[in-house]
Amino acid sequence: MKRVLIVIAVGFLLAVLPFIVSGYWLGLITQAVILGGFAMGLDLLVGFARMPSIGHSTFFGLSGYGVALAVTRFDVAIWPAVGIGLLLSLIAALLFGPLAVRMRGLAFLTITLAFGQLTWGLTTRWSSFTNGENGIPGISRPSFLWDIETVVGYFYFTLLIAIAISIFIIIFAESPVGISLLGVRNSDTRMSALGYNIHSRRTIAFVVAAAVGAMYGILNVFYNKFIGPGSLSWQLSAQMLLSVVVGGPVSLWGPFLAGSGIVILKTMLIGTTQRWPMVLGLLYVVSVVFLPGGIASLLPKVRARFEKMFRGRVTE
Amino acid sequence: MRFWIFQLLNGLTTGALLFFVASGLTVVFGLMRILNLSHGALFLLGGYVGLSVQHFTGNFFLAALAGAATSGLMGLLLQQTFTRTLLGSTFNQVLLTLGIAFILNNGMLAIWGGLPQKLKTPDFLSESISVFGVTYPSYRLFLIVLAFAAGLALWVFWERSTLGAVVRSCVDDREMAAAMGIRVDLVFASVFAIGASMAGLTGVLGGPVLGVYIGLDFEVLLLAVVVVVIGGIGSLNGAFVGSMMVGLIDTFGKASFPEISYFTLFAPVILILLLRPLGLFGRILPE
Repeated sequence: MKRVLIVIAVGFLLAVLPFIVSGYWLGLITQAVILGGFAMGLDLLVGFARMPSIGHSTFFGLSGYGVALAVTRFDVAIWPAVGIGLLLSLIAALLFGPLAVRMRGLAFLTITLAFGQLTWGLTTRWSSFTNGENGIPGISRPSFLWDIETVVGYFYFTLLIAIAISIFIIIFAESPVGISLLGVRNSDTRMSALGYNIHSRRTIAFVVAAAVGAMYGILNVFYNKFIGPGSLSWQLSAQMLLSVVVGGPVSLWGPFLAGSGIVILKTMLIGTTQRWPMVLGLLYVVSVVFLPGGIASLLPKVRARFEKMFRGRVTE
Repeated sequence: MRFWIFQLLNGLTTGALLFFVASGLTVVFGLMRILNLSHGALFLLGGYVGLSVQHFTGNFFLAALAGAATSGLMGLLLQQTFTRTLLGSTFNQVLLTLGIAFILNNGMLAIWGGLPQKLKTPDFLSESISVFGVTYPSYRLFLIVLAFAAGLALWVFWERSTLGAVVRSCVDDREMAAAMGIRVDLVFASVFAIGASMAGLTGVLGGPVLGVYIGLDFEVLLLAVVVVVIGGIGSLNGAFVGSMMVGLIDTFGKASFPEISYFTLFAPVILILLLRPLGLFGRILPE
């Protein structure tokens, strides 16, 4: 409950941004919120259930493709198209999930990679239907309570949905199901002996993370008004996995922070240097070697330092 | 008919190149439980170094030697620097080796530029010869023969030699091997370096066929990972059979169903993983 209040408070703080920053930055922050939120959802799978997926951008991209294809190829109205996009991702997750969760560790990683490449391959190669590498441009935003065609309007739209999804994630994480995932992670034999169905718990984590990714995928496609194979590439999946690990698995806020931080860093660096992949690579290496617990693991240390500073030597 | 023979030979060529890359990947994976995602970058590094050496000396064999040596040394350097992280958790090694792959990829872009380039075939293999009624480049046939020869040599080393037995003992029971006086760390370092240098060598060998370009590193890596999964982790036989299968599936898929060619490649992978989670020749490896 405490964390739900924190999310709402942070949401109110972010809502002030349009009065402070320029339109360029607001657009960038909108993107950062989208990918940060995606990373937060992935934490349920990667952190809570400790299943390293390198294929979850599949669901992020697939929902976007669902919208784009429904609108451009079948002349569906926008809001029903959103439903089709979400449904497409959900069906894929329900198809892949139960199969993938039978694998552990690196085998799980490779099967998620295989699923991801399979769908990515369809979007790049099946060009008569998906337009291949060129992607699908010209997707217009739906009508909403306020005008979301403007940068500010779309920022508030994204923020509202991100807050709703984050609250859902927190409630899920604190529910008996979410807590049982931690049990499965720590000792699946013990949980199995206690009568829990391990595969079904893992599938739930897989599908919920996919559903969160799918919703942010919708926000992404309307933000860009375009969808291309890049949004379901394994590189994006790897970036999300990195966000969870750098942020600190299981903390939820850490992956959000890291996921959005990487987006902002990337945009700032791409403008000035061609060495972005190298910086990203260094980020991978440095974070794994020097910060194995992620950003979230720094918080207790900082807190302890502060407490010591304020209390002084009296309490010692 | 000619079309099919031609595609068959193309598939075997791809399979041959894949085998050289995947055998290193699978042995390192089996021995140290490390999925080295920078293996593709080491492959491309060898290719680029070979390209430069060939440019300056005109000698293909010197180029192959230099490519293999550079990648081998780079592999050794990485293994020595990151031993602790590499032997740690799955997450960490995946992200670490992926990070290294990005760094190498971008470094190579900085040095050799973004234009796709190609190595020249060695002079005595530059002609085409006629086999089974089709005219086929002799260099590609040489690669196929080389893969079979190398597969045989590796098998003899692995199954029949004392050194092979030492490596196998480290795969099966690291602690017992150490207790018997085997320098496990030395075995790890040499196997990692040899695997890396084989990747680098393949970069050069594949140079005249695949070319060398930024992005090839990840394409090759993906195919090699697929081979390891199909063949079974740590199995050389599996790497050979898997490579030829993937080479043929990939070639025929691209030739016959270009629009769904990734589907034809990855659908069998998923099927094999589900039916035989350990791969065709895999067995349960002790932790």
